[in-house]
Amino acid sequence: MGVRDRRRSYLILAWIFLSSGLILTPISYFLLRSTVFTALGSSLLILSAVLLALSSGLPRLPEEAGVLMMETSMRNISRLIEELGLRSKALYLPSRLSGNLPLALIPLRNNPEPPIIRRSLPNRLIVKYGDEAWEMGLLVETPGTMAFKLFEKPEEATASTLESSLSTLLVNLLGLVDGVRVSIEGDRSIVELLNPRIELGEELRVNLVLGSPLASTVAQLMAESLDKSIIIEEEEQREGKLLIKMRIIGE
Amino acid sequence: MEVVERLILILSIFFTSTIVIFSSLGERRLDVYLSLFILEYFITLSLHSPLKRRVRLYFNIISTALFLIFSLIVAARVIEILYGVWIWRLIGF
Repeated sequence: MGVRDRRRSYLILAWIFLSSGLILTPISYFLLRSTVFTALGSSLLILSAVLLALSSGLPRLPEEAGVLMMETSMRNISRLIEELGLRSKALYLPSRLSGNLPLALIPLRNNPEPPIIRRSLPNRLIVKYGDEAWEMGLLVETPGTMAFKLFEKPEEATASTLESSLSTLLVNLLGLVDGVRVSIEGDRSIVELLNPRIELGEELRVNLVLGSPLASTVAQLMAESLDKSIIIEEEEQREGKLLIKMRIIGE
Repeated sequence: MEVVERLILILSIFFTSTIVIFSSLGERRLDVYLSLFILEYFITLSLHSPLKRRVRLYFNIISTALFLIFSLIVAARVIEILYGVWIWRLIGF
């Protein structure tokens, strides 16, 4: 069902409920003297108001269009990564280390150990993150950078507060997954996303470097909440869930 | 199932069950039904919060209206207990 059709069906149902409620309630109260039917009419009135309210919040852009745009932007980053021959995993930085917004740093040189960033990096595409000449990288925006604008950062970052903030964003506001579970043990964190709805057609290089769009979003928001750098170590797609294993880096 | 669809489905189930259960028990007070509907509305809403900003504005209006109705019902019951007068009857309901 298209976005417009869905919106229309909500509105039609709301108007049916509203008119039925407006007719049923006074008739059953004043003429039939029936409490049950009056209650039924009242419930229809409440439901119609709820349906009208919900119809205003339905997405205005078809889901397919959103996926298409995201895929295009991911493909562009992928082309850039492929062209530069980047293979190292991206380091998700909190805004404290990357300027105004949380960004991801992709080191130009492949290094088994991720770099530790101690000072704020300039807000540019190509940045120098260390003292050595080879310590250069690409600072890119990720889906999580944009999602951060809707994210309610917890005051104290614990597994439960993070789980609640991520659920609010990914389940209630964006509707990308059905549930979120977070566990943190030392410098390792595992986030479990239930019934993820984003699936990209093919395996892109960007997924190896930044992770899948959902993992990338989660890692970026975790980095911002914990105020530490994060690297995605592994992603595991199981039946109905996506497991994201991350490593927290820095003091 | 999306949050929006879940919300409307749960609310419909709550309302229908309330009507079926309480009418089968012989409940004849309309304010009991209305109070329960309002209570169920607030429970369902809090379980699905926060909603999108646009939707929240409309829900604030609905919630205010329902809270007002609930307050009137409670006030009427308090007056009945204190003074033995069912206030709705005085104004013709």
